[in-house]
Amino acid sequence: MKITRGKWSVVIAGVIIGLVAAVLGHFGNPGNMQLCIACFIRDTTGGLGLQTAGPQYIRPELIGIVLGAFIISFIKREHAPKGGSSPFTRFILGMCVMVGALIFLGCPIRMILRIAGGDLNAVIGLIGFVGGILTGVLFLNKGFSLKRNYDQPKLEGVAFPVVNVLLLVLLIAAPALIFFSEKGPGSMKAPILISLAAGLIVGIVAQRSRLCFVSGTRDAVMFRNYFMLLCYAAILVVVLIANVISGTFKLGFADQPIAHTEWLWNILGLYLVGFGSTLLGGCPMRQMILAGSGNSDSAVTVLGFVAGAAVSHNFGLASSAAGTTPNGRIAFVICVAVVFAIAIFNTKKSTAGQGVRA
Amino acid sequence: MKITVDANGLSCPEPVLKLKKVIDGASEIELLVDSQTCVENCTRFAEKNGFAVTVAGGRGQFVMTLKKK
Repeated sequence: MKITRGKWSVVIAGVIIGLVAAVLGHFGNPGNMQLCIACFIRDTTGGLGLQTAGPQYIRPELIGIVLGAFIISFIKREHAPKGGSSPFTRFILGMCVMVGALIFLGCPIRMILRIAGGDLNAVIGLIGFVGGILTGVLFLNKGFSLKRNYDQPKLEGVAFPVVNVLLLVLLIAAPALIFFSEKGPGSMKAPILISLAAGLIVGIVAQRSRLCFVSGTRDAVMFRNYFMLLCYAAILVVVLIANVISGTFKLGFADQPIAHTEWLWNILGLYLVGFGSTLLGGCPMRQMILAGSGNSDSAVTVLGFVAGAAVSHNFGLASSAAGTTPNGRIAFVICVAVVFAIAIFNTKKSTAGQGVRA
Repeated sequence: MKITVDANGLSCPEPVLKLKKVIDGASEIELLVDSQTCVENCTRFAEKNGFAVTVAGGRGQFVMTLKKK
């Protein structure tokens, strides 16, 4: 039996995710933000009232992604409750990654969607993203590790999907205690059922293809394995074609949807995302998939994203179309220092040799 | 001589890095990992380095046997 998947499997995964993004855009999701894990976590954080200054909407796409990953990992007998690999450090890294993403205005998948929409600010940001991953790789090669995880009780592995079911109930019941944006990106949304179905498809496809926007670049550098890059290319091409057909493709720097033109901060924001995500072992989307598949370290990381989103909007760190904020620039410096400290303190030359016996 | 590498509980790329460290000069390696993703990543790396890979076990417990072709 062949153990690894062929190249076509990741290309097909990319095409499906690209098509899903195009459909979400068609049905009302914000421009070049058809699908974005960081932005949607921020929206959900707002919907729950944990941040009150930014967009507010419990995004069904995220619920679908988690449940899709949960269902398919269960069917494929890959669902396994695991946790205990430096959970609090992961929480902090998750916060820092979110601060970076909200300085740039998007996580890696939105970076690709923005490029596919002709937003050249995202092409500039890509430089920082790759730079961040390379910095992470440097530490990985020197023995960086958040140490191993351990088996956990069954409940620990299903708690996160259950919370997502509860979020869905909240969204549909829409009691007065949750929040809905009336204008801005939080008010731009595809119908709930379409968003949920789209999320389920993305969750299933991403779980099967192991899609990760960090690991592809990381493995290309570390192991000369260019496999996953094909998936990114497929998403880019499909969304680009969809944008050209629908007339939403617009090449340039200025007046791009939900984006700013401060090139240095676009680079730095994504540098933080790339560096932090490499230390976490995966991009925000991958963390969602792993959290759905029973990994409670990833669930804690997602809570870190939520905390990062809350802090970013409540303390005015997040950028807007007008640009970055002074608080955001200070937060960036603090977050980069924190991520470097985490990288340095968890790097020991001897760890790669542990567990080897002849 | 057979080398055993225990990468249980580690998430990628750490198992591949551990493998990378011992793969030069080895003829047979037993690699213990606990996720399907790690099995796939390590297989890809091992095959690229001229090893034949067989996998036993499942659901959180995999024993990979790598033999130099």
